Amino acid sequence: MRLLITGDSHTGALYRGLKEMRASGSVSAEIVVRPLGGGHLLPTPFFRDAGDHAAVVDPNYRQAFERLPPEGAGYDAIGLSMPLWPMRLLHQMNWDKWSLSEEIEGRRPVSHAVFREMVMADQKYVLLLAELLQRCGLEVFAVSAPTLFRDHNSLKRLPPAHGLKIFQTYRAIICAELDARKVDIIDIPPQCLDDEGFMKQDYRHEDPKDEHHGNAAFGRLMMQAVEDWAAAKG
Amino acid sequence: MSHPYRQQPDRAFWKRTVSPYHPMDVGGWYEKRFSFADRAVATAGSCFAQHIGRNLRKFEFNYLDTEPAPRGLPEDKRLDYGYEMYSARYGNVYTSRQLLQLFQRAFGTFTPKEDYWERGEGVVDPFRPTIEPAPFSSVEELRVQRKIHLESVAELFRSADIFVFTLGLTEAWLSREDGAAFPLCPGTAGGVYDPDAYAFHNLSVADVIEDMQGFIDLARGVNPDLRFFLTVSPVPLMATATDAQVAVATTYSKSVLRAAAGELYQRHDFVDYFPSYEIITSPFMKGYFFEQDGREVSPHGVAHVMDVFFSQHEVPAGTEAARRVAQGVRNPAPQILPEISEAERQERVRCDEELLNSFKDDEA
Repeated sequence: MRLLITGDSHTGALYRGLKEMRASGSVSAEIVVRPLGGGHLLPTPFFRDAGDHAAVVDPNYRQAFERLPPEGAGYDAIGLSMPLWPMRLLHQMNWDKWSLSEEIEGRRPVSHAVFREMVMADQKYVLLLAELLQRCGLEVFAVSAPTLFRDHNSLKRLPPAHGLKIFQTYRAIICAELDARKVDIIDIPPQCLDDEGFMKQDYRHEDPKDEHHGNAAFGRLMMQAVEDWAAAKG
Repeated sequence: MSHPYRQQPDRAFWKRTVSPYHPMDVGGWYEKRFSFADRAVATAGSCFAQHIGRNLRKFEFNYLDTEPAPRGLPEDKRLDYGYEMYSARYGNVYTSRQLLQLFQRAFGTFTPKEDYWERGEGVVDPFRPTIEPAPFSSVEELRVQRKIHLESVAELFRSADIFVFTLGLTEAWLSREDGAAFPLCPGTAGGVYDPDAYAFHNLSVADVIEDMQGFIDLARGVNPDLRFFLTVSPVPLMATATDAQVAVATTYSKSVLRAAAGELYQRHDFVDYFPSYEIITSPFMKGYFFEQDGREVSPHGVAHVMDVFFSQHEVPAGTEAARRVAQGVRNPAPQILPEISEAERQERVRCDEELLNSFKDDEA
């Protein structure tokens, strides 16, 4: 089975994890990890439905791919490291002082229904891309980004439990949407999470200043799960 | 021979104002009593008030929105969730009783017994049951939303300079227990209709004047310079709960509202009346401005009403928020925040670095 995994900057950890696995000879599936680009462009119409493929139209993303799937590459499946990263919305809610349906001093609560609309707007084009790729005959799966690290910068201005609630609610909404589209999810292995649901520091990026990406160990766990998924699919 | 009519202007005479003109060219509809220039304007009322608010926003009047939509909510979804409909998220305020009680609820002097209505799997606020397309998931969520809403309403009344209110209906549904006025009949958008719990009341002119005077007194109690700009909705009733035929009930309702607005205008120099009702419904307009159903006002009608409005209230020139702030205008247009925070900007940089560093040796 030939797999392509593409998406936002969280593909970095996946790539490094895959390299480590290759070095130890523990990869059997044919897997390519290549980023599309920064995740801030995912809520924009970054591709055009060209019938039998997605024509990438965003100039930044076109530096990585002109189309998905790439022409003639013969991929059987595409993994998207795109839909399970709620940070854009968390930043926005933090900056504009919103909370998720909870009374927090100095913040305005949005209802769950309004939040859901915001989540769907954030992932509108990613979900459309998943549908298009499926229509093109590819197996589509989602590869989760890490969840929140407890020392994430955004949690300095927001009660950590509330930040995590926003993250988890976002993820739950998108997981249901992916499930409805029969998009399998390679989710964060339980051993990566502490009792409250934050990411363990063991999986934090190698750069101490980076409190939002995972490290190669996290990438390796995720890529092992991708391998297992591919093996199960045959 | 001298008599008072000799001093009257042309617009006081039908023969000089209406008869010689095409209906679209009839003028003299309105002379402003006070200016909207650089004043913070808030709107509320029945459906037609939405048009006024939308145009005030569009033409960059100093429009107050104390309950703005979150940035991430797409613009085409905002009205569905009661955002940008009026100056706060109260939905339609059809009656004078609702308006009075909205103020009292916002300032904590009236707490209705009716807390929530059940609808489907969730609950709705009896005082704005259709503010979101689906019910709230829990009573707790409803209360959190109501609290911030009423705080926003209080902020609105404290900070507005002009309050635009479109009187819409006289037919009200009241709680028998405490007189709470609901925007919709219980049972239509939530709750269960119980004749022992709810009563229909068709407000009289005296009722409307009393409600509005009570509201005005309370509002000027917290904001002594607040001015009021009243209109009557030209939109006929969708349905009546009286025994009368719906058009007959409409005439009663609109007549009462028009008379009450006139009385308030006569009483107070800080109350203005704008004749959107007359512009749309006058017989010589021949119903031009109604859609086929004889009820909805067409976009042309709205545009014509707004033309009359703008003939007296000039569209502000050079209205960007910065200029207003520089001039020290109270309640300037909302500050336009940078699109992203510094934290998010830094994170984008880290994402770029992550991509560059991770894939620097990628041969693909």
